[in-house]
Parts: sequence; structure tokens; C-alpha cells
Amino acid sequence: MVKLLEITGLRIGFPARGGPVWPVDGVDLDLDQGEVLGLVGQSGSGKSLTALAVMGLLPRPAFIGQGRIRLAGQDLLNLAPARRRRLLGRTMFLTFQGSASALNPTMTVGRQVTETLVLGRGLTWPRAWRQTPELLEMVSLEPDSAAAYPFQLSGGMRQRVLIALALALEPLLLMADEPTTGLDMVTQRSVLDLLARQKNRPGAALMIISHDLRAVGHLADRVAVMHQGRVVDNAPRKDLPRLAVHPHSRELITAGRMLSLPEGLC
Amino acid sequence: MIRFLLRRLLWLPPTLLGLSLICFGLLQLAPGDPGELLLRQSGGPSSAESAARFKAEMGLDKSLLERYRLWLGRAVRLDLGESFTTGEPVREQILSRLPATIELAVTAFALMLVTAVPLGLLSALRPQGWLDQASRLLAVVAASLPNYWFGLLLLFLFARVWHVFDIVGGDGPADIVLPALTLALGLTAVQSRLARERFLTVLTEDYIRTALAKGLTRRQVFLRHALKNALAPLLHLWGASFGYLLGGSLIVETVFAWPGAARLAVDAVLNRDYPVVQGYIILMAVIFIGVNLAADAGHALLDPRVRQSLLNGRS
Amino acid sequence: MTWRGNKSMAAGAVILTLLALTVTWGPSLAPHDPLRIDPLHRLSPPDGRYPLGTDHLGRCVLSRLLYGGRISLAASLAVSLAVLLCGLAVGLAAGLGGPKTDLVIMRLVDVKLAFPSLILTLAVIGALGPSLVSAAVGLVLNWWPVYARMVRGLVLTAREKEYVLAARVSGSRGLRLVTGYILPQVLPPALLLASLETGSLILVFAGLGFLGLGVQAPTPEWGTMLSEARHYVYTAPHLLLAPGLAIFTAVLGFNLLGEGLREAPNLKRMGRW
Repeated sequence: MVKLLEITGLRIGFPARGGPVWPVDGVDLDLDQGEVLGLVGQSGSGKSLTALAVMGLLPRPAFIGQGRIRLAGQDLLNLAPARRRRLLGRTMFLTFQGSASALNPTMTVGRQVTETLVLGRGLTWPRAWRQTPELLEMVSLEPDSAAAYPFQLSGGMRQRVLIALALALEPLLLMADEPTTGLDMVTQRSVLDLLARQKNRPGAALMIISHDLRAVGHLADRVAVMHQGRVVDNAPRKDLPRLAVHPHSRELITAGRMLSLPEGLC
Repeated sequence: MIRFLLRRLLWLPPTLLGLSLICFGLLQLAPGDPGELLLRQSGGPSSAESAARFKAEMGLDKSLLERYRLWLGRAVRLDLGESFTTGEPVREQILSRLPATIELAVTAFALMLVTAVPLGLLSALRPQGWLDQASRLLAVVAASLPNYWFGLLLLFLFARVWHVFDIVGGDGPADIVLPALTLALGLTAVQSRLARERFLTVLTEDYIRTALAKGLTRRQVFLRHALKNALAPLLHLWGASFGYLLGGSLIVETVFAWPGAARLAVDAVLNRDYPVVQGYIILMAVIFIGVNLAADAGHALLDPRVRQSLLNGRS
Repeated sequence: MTWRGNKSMAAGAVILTLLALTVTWGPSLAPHDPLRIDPLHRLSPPDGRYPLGTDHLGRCVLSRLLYGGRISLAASLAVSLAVLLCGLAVGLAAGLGGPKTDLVIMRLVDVKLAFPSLILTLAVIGALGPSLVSAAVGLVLNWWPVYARMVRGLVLTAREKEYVLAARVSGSRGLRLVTGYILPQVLPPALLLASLETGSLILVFAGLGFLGLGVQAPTPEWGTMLSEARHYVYTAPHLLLAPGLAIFTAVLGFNLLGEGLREAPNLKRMGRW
């Protein structure tokens, strides 16, 4: 089976006064179909940039210096931009942390979901609009929230809206950046449960990006630890405590243990 | 939405009251006896008797408060008196020339929108690129250029150098081009930089990335998600810029001999024709207040967060 | 300081220095009396005797330009200063006085801001008759509210700062409090605004002269010179160039300086309003 995602030797740079800086400096990652990968590391370790690079959504001054990214065998970096953009949404999707600006502040939640249904399932607008309440219920939101604006919802609700968008698109590769940050424990659990659905779809895969090991805790099949732009440890979840060599990984594990890791990681 | 409008309308009476006080007060400051002035201007004898008679007619011999009440009563009925120079009713004089001024201001505003928004967007898409740098330079130059000078240069160029006479002083529809251009110049400079700031801010927000990640085309993202969010806060400033346009029309109408209300006002000031000046001030102020109210309402319409905070009690 | 800001500021400073020199010493360099009429040489283009030509009354354009510069610039700067002082005074009063004073003053500011620009100026000039003084007064009355509002905001912020509260607790009161603690917070942004606005003021002041609503003939002033040139656009176009260019250069200098100052990092820290 060909791997869904293969990143080899990725280097992402930012131009700077004395020469470029490399916040991502040689990353190797891969993801099998049906696999859940937890990508953990401190803020600034380059995890989000890696995901953005896969999507082709790097912020303006950043550039890819080196490396290869392959999606289902297809070389993404040498693809024509227009063809690459067509992959966005139905083939791969990235959700951001549910902060206030992750959703269009002047558009109702319902419209944003409907828009996504149109994109993901090829429906006409009226049909998509009719399916919107159902989708909202899937993420445990009241159908009424379709008329609400993002600023009227809590962080947890906004995150669930973002997941609803992902469910509407049903992408092969779903990456979730900090899906549980800033949420209470109960909500975190429900968000993770929702993300778990991705596993059950044939040929699909999930990457959870977080600075918190607990977030990837019971979902991930493998855990990769990033530190200062590189992947320093990469092991199946069960084996991580035993195989992790990098001091940073050990720090993360210890911290996770102190804050009561869910079963399976100790 | 209705509540917001009502709340804003509540501020109207005090503002108008202040306006009336200022207008009335200023007129009282005018040195010289208007009665004498008028008679002298109309060539009649300035004997003490006729002056006194005139004063009684105009009610100028009553107390200040009385005069104010009289004046206010007439103003509310939109009776703005008669011109000192021509004797015509001020209201008719101004209103007949108002359309020309509005036409000029609206055209200039449209020119500004059509130029500043695309320019701002293109500058924001490639910050520090050549277009951005060039438009920044252009903006400073345009903002420093006196529009009266610019207008005169345009007149000279078109009439003398390029011999395009029918664009100048004729009656065709192309007539409005040069004056509107001149009027729009300084404004476009400032607004294009403002638009650039807004687009820069909005285009780097998370929801734009979400929209792109969903698979929307760049054009769809721009039209559906970016445009409204970028331009809504500018509505306030556009309303205020209408005031700039009204002020600028004083100059542009003079340079291009445009038959508008502003030119009438300038002549009136030079001729000490107080009723006309006063009428012009009141009318312009009312129009400006109206435009600002519309701009604020528009902003609230476009941005639900503004609606929310307004309902929460900020004014 | 970023290189960008540096360039603008340097350019602006150079222009303004040249301008200041011209204005201070220029008149002594003027070849002729700016008011002297020479009926035999009306509307003549630049030549040896009259380096910039003569106007419709045969007066030397260069001399009028140099003397006029004094008026155009000095008056604009005076207005700028007056606006700054008024705005400071009102803003301080609103920010430091009680909430009632604040409310009253701010309502007044709002009422004024409801007027389109220059309409109030027009009213003042209309009432007092066109002259240099009435134009100046009209402009001051038009411009101060923006400063007042900004100063008030800054004062309110400064008041709540810790070191100010500490000073108050330890006994500083009244004038000492204001000058020692509040003003240093308020003045730099206010001065920045003033430098940005002075350019516009020069434009408007000369504009009023152009309309005949400010300085009156025969006093030389850049705006009135343009107004006189207006009638001879087709016959003597050279009259247009000098005064217009002068105004443009002066305003450009201030605008560049202001733009450059705005980029300065320590001013940015002081807080944008």
C-alpha cells in the first residue's frame, strides 16, 4: 500500500537580514493510510509550518528550500499551482485552532458550513443548506447555531464548527493543528472523538498537531516529536516512552505523565 | 438594527442645535450694520431713517434671544432668507445649484473607489513590491499637490498643449472628468494606502487560510470572505471623506467654473452676502451628517460585531 | 530606525531646511520690491532682469515668491502651533477634569466634527470678512477638535499608568503632576500629529488665499499669486509654475518628514492613537 503522505528532507526558510533562517530544517515524516499520527513539539518547533507546507499555504515570505512532499505518491512540490490548489478541500484539509479569527467573523456559521458542503459533496446550495443542521448535530451543536456568528460561540464550539467543515469535506488527509488547545477536558475529549471518525474512512489518515502529548494520547498510532525544526523521535505510541532518546521528548513524556496521561502511553 | 439607528438619531437634535447656535452666533459677530451694508450695496440712500426702517423690517432691533428664536423658526421651515446681493430666496438659489455640486462630489468619490481599492489590493498582495513602493511614492506626491494648482495645470495641458478644447468649459458629459479628477486626487492618495493596510491585515487572518484550505478559488475567497471584512471599517472614513469632498469643491468649482453651490458660497463670502453663506453652511452640514449616519449604518449592516457592541451600550 | 523611514525623513528634513533658509534669508536676496509695479513689463517671461518673469502688474515674480513664502509658511506654522495648543488645553481639561467636564467637552468636539471640513472656516471668514487673520482663526477653529480628542485619549491612558498613580499617592499634584508625568506621554504623539498635519494646513491656507478668502491683495502670498495667475493660464502660463511648485515643495517636505517620523520605532512605542 502506498503511503498517503511522505515528507522527505523538508526545509522551510524565512528570508532575514543576515541570511535566511530555517524554522523547519530537515523533516522526514510519513503517514500510512488508516493511520493516526501525532506530531508534537513546543511552539516554534515548526510543526504548523510543516502542515502549511503540505497544503501549499505557507505565509508569504516563507519558502521551501529543499525537500519532497508526496501525497499518495504524487509529488506535490513539482505540481502546477492550479492543479495543486484543486487538491485542497476534498483531498487534504487543515483545521486551525478555533480562535476567534479561524472563521469568517461576518458570515454566519451556517453559511460557512453550507459553503463547505457545496465544495465537499458537490451539492447545490439549497440542498447543502438543508443538510447543514444535520452536520452541526454530528458535532454536537444545536441546529440553531447555524444562525450564529463565530464571535457568539465559545472556543470549543468554534473548534467543533471547524471539525464540521472537515466532516463536510471528507478529505483523504486531515490535519488538525492544535484542536484541543484552550478547551476544557470534556470538550477536548469530544473533539478527539470526532476526529477519530477520520480513522474509520477507507484510505484516509489523520495527523494531529499539538504541543500537548495528552491531546494525541489515546488516538495516535504513532507519535513524532519535533524540536527546533527537526523530527527528533518517531515511534509507535506504545513504544514511545521506551524508544524516545531525545531529551526534549523525555521532557514531554514526563510532563504528560505528571498531568495524568490517558492509558496506553505509559 | 433599528435600535441602533434610533440611538444614533437621538444624537441628531443636540448636534443640529449646536449647528444652529454656531451659525447664528457667527452671523452676529459680523462687523458692520447689515442694514447699512445692504442699502449701500443696493445703491440706495443710506440715511438713518431708511436704515432704521430696514432694521425694523428684518427684525434686527429685537433682543438677541428674540432674534434667535425668530431665526430658528424660519430655519426649521427651511426659510433661509433672501440674498443680500440679488434678493432671491436663498433656498432656491442653493438648491438649484446643489445637484451640480453633488454630481461632482459623487463622481469624484466613485473615481476614488475605483482607483484606491484595486491599488490597495494589489499593493497588499505584494508588499514592498515595485507596485507598492511606487504607489506609496505616488500617494505622498499626490497628497502634497495643491489641487488648485493641479486643476490649473490640467486646464493648461488639455486646452493649450493638447488642444482638446471640448473637454473644457463646454456642456458635454466629458466636462466632469477634469474637475472630478482634481477633486479626487488627494483623497485617492490617502484612501489607497488605507485600503492597502486593511487588505494586508485581512489577507493574513486565519479564516482566509481556512477558506483556501476548503478548496475555494482565490477569487471566491477574495469576493466572499476578504472584501467585506477589509472594507467595512473603511466606511466610516469614506463618510468623513465626503466632508473633504465638499470642502474641496469650493476650490474645484472655482478653478473649473463649475456651476455648483460651492462657487455660490465663495462668491457670497466675498460679497458679504450673509444669508447665502449661512444657508450654504446649514445645508452642507445637514448633508454631511446624513452621509455619516448612512456610513455608520452601512458599517453596522456589514459587520455583526459592530451591531453587537452598539446594542451593548457604546454609542 | 528602518531604512524606509530614514529615507523619507532625511528627504523631508533636507527640503524643510532649504525652505527655512529661503524663507529667512530669501527676502534679502530678492532683486526687487515685491510690491513695485512695472507697467512697461507686464506678463513678461523670465529674463535677465526678472529671473522668474513678471505678473499682470509687472511685479517681479521671484521677489513676490520669496516674500510670499514668509507669509504662507509663517502663518501656517502659527496656525499649526495654535491648533496644537488649543487641542492640548482642551484635551488636558477633558482628560484631567471630572467625568462631567469630559462629557461636555467631548460632546462639543463631536458637534464640531459633525461639520464637514472647512465649512466652519468658511463661516468664520464669512462673518469676519476675508483677511489673513480671519482665515487663520477659521482654520484654528476647524482643526483643534482632532487634536483635543487624541490628547484626551492619551491623557486618560496616561492617568492610569502605574507610575502616575504612584506619583499622585506620594503627593505630586496639579501642575507638577501634569508637567512631570502626563505631558511627556502626551507631547510626542501630539507633535507627530502636528508634523503630519502641517502639510495639509499649508495647502488649505494657500487654498484660501487662492479663493480670495485669506490674504488680500496686494500682499504677496503663494495662494493669491496662483489666483492671479489663473486669469492668464493661456497667455502667460509661466506664472503658474513658481508659486505652485513652491507650495508643493513645502507640503512635500512636511509630509515626507511626517511619514518618516511615523516609522520611527520609539515613537511607535509611545502608542498610536
